[in-house]
Amino acid sequence: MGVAYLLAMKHFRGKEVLDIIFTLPLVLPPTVTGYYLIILFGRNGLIGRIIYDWAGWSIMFTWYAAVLASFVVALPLMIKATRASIESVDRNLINASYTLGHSEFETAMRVTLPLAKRGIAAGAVLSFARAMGEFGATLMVAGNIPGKTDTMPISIYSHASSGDWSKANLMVIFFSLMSGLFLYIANRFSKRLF
Amino acid sequence: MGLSVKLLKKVKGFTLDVEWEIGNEVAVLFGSSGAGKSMTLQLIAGLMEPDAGFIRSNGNIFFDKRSGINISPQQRSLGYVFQDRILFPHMTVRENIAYGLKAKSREQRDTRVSDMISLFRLEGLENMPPSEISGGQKQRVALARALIERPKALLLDEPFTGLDSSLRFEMRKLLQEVRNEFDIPVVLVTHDFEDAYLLGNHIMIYIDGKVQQAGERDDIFQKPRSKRVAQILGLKNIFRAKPIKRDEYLHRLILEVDGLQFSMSSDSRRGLVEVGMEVDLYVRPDEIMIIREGKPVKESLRHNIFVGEIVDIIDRGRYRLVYFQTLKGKILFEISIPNYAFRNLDLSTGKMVRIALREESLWVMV
Repeated sequence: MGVAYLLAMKHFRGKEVLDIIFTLPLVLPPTVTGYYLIILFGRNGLIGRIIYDWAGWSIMFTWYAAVLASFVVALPLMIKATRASIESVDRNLINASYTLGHSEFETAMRVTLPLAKRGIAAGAVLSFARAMGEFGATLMVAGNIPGKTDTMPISIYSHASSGDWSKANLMVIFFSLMSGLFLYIANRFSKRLF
Repeated sequence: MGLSVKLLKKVKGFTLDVEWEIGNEVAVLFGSSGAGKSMTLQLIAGLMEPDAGFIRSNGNIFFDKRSGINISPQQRSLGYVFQDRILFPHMTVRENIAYGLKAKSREQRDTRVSDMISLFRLEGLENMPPSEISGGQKQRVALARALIERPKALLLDEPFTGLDSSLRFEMRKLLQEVRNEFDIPVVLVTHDFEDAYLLGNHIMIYIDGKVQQAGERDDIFQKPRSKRVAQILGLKNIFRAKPIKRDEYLHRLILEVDGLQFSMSSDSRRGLVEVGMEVDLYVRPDEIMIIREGKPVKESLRHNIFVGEIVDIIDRGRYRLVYFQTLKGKILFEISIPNYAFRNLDLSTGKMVRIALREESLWVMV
C-alpha cells in the first residue's frame, strides 16, 4: 500500500522504473519470476547469503518460500489496483484536507485511503485469488516436497501426472468450490463497502 | 492590511504574472477560464509554488522567494472553498465541518461545530451525507468547514456556478454575513459577469495571466480600459471610431463612426486621444435616451441626437432591451430602458424615433 501510495501521489526520478519492477511478475512467466527469486534468496543469492550467514538457514524449499513466491506474484495486482484507486481520488479533496491544516499522513489515513478502499479491496481479492492459483514460481523455489511444500495446485499436478485420478478429482472439486465460495464472499464484502 | 501578492508562475505555454493588494474586503478575480484565476488561488493557498514573488496577509508572510520563505498549506490557515463545493463524500455534514477543526477537547469541538451549524443554518442536516443535500446546502457546509478555524483569508473558487438565481441571492447575503462575522480578505474567482457585478466591491480583470484592470466595480464597468476588458465584461455598443476634430473653444472632441459624428467633452481622456488615431468608443446602453416626440430636448443632450428605426425589442423582465439602428451609417445600438419608461414611450418594432446620448454615456478606449 505504501508503494502504491508513493507511485500514485509523488513525482520522483525513477518512478516509472520502480513501477515496471513491481509490475514485471505480472507479465513474466512464473518460472522466470521463480528463477529471480532463486537468484535473490538462494543460499548463494544476494539476500539469501546474508540470511544464511546470519541465521544458518535458507528459505529455499520451505513453506516460507511458497508464501514468498505467492506474495511476489500477487503483488503487482495489489499495487496496480491500489495505485489506480488512489489516483482516482479527486485531487481537490486531498488539497482541501491540506488547506484545512491536516498533514499528508493524516490526509492519507482520513481521506485518501478511505475513499480508495473499494479499489484496495478489489486489489486484495484479485491478488489473493492470484496467490491461491500460484504454481510455477512456487515450484521453482519451494520444490514439491509432499506434506511440506506442495501447495494444492502443485499436488494436483503431481497426482494427475502420476495417474492418481481419484485424488486429483477430489482436490480439483474441493479447490473449485473453495475458490467459488471465496469469490462470492469477496463480492458480497466489496458491495457492502459502498 | 488585507492580502498582498506578487506572483510569477510559468507552466507549459502559460505565464501568470500578477501583482495586487486588497484590504479586508471582497475582491473578485474575473476573467474567462484559463486566465489564471484558479491558479492564483492555488498559489496563495500554497498548493503550488510561485517561481518568484511574495504572498503576505495581515502581517504574515506566507511566501517570499527572495528570503526563501515558503509556509506549507497546512500552516497558512486559509479558508479555501474549492470549485463544485466538494465535500468529503464519506463523512456526514457534521464530520465535514468538524474536519476543519484542529485538535481540541471534545467539548470545545462540539460547541464550535454547533456554532457553525447554526451560523450557516444547517440544523437538521448534521447527520446527512453530502450526496443527500442540495447545492446551496453543500455550499454552506463548504463555507462552514473553511471558516471554522477562523482563517486569515477566505478563497472561493467559482462558488456560485451551477446555483440558480434565487440561491445566488441567498448566497450573496450569506457572504455579507460572513464578511461581518469574520473581518478577513475574501478572494472570489468567477467567470460569471453577474456574480462579479453583484459580489465584488473590488474587481480585478484577468486576461491571459495578467491583471488588465483593477478597481472599484462601477469604475470598471463604466470605464473599461480596453476593448478586451469591455468584451470580457460583456459590454455592448463598442465601435471603432476616429477622432477627427478637437474644438478647444467649446471643449468638444468630435469622433466619427461610419460617417456618423459623435461629440464628447474634450476634457475627458485628455492627452490620451489625439486627432488622427483610431480608438474604441463605448456607449453605455443605460445612458441612452429615447426622445418622446413633442417634448423639448434638454440643452445638455443636444450634442448627440440620432434618427433611426427600432429593429427589435427584448423583454428582460426588469427592463427592456431596445435595438436601434441609425438611418445614417446604419449603426446598431443596444439601449436598456426601465419598464415604466418603456410604457410611456409606446415603442414598437419598425417605429422611427430619435435618440439622445447623455454626456456620461460616451467612453473612449485606446
